[in-house]
Amino acid sequence: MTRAIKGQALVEFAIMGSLALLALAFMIQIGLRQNYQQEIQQQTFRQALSAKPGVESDDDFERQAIQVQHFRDRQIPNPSQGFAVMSRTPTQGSAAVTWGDKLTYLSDDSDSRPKIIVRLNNSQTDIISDEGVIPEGQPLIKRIDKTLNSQGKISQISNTSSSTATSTEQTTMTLSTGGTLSSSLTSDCQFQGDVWRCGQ
Amino acid sequence: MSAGTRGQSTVEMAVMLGAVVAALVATHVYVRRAYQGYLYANASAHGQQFDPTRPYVMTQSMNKFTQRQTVDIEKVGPGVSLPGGSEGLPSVPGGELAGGAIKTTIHVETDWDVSREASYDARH
Repeated sequence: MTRAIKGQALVEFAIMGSLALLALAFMIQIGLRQNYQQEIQQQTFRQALSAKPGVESDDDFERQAIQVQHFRDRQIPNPSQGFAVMSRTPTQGSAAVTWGDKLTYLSDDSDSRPKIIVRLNNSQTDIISDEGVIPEGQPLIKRIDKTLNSQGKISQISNTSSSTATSTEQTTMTLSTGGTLSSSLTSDCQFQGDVWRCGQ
Repeated sequence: MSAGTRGQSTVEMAVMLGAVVAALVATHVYVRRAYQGYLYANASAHGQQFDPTRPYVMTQSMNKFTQRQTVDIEKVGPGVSLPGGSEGLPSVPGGELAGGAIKTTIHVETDWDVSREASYDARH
């Protein structure tokens, strides 16, 4: 193989290799997003099954349905973002479970409206959806506020390098009942030796 | 010109050339110093020079990155709106069914501050 052919092959590898790497990163990002979305759907359904009515208090003894809304922010690597931004991708799952054994024996004065559980990351609120609790014609989630603060530094001191990256995302969810849910997620990464170590 | 006169001129020429060469050899040190000074002055005009054998610090910082996202959700209209019967069919009732379209408004604000610092301890 002549040098010219080798050089041409090297240039082609450099151009197409970078595109292939970009495509691989894109596929990894898509795969992670789909995996997290499927995971939260399954988790939410299991939460709805395990949150059987009539267990926690007499108020929901005659309720025949549970509805769970779960919102969770996950970190997915995104090469298009700048260094140390580390934003989180929201995933959402919802499930409603109705117990058939209460369909027949539901008393006349009991309420068939479901008990609603809303979870945001590690925060949770339970809503007994009696009449008037959720205003007519209003969505359950009225407003979502997200604030992301990030800082990062890459430094080279003579023949040693040290780098840090910190990001904090605060989320506040306002419900139509007037209640709010809040969560704060923090990632703190440091370059030690020759590897990145992140704590959350 | 007689042979003696030519010989005297030759010796004088040789001594003169030898004296000039000796003077040049003696002053070459100063010529070299002058040229090195010219080089040093030009190099100094460029400022500090990076020397990897000397201590240096280079830092790139993202001092601040802030992104605020606001999502407002509201229901607009019913799921299905039935107009009801006409004059020919007055008994058909109209009304609205539950559901409804959702209108989502998203507002994003981003602000960042990036800086770069470098300091070298140049060779003097």
